Amino acid sequence: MLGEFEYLLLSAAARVGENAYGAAIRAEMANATGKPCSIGALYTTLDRLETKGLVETWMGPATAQRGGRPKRMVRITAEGRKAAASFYAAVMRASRGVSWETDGEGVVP
Amino acid sequence: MNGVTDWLADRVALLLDPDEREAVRGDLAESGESGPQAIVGMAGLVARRQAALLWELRPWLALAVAMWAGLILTRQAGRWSHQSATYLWMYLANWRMSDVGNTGFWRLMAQEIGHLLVGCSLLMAGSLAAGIPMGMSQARRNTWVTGALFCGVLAVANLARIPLKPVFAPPILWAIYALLMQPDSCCSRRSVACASAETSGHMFGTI
Repeated sequence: MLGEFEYLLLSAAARVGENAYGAAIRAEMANATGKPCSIGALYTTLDRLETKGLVETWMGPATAQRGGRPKRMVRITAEGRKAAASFYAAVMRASRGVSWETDGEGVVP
Repeated sequence: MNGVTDWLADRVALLLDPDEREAVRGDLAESGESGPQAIVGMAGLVARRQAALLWELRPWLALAVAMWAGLILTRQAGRWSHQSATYLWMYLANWRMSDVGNTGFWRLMAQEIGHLLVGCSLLMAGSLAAGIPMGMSQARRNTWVTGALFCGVLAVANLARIPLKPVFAPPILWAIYALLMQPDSCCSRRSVACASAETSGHMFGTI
């Protein structure tokens, strides 16, 4: 089963689509969670997902905006899509009948 | 980035693999992160990479080879120094023209030169045997982990009062540990000449 951060990364990569790469995924994750994503966490998680066969990465083109440096492009594999779908379904099942609205002092399930 | 932070970022980035280094620096440039932020971000990635290496065999193997190679090579160098080098010095200091016609003089000299060459070959073989696994197990990205492990073991040995004097002998510090810190595997070839030269220099310096 995926970890929470792995799922967030896969979701961000899926949202960015065909042009997913490090900086774009990082920005997307920061938008989604409202918290900055460290570049260390991003790249070590990418490596782990690649080792598991859930994503493929390769060096892409360089742009002037990046100081002429190449991008590490990311593509989710079929296994990655299955794993993300499975994680999402598990979260949905676990959340069924539960409300996480707060009363100002704490969480009321 | 200004000059100093740029220089620091370059130094930190050197600890990453070339492809990753370029991609990470490109990402940081694209997201407009300032010098200190970029350095902290890269240092975080480097720390994660180095921590992950502790779970691999390579730095431990390099450390084990360095410690044992240090002990064995120093002992061999000391033996060589005490035997062959002393005889050579005696020959040089007590040499007389009349000895040239003496058969025993030449027989003993040939014997000592033979011992000297065998000792030298053993040292070269030892350096080579130590250099190959270290060169194969060592990469630039492992440098910090291996250095930290080396210092950690020395600290523990010091606390436990384990005698490690041979490891600190000049030939080992100059040749073997410098070799351990070399970034690529071709260092094992360089090491043969380097270790032998440094070891010889040290030994003749002790006569």
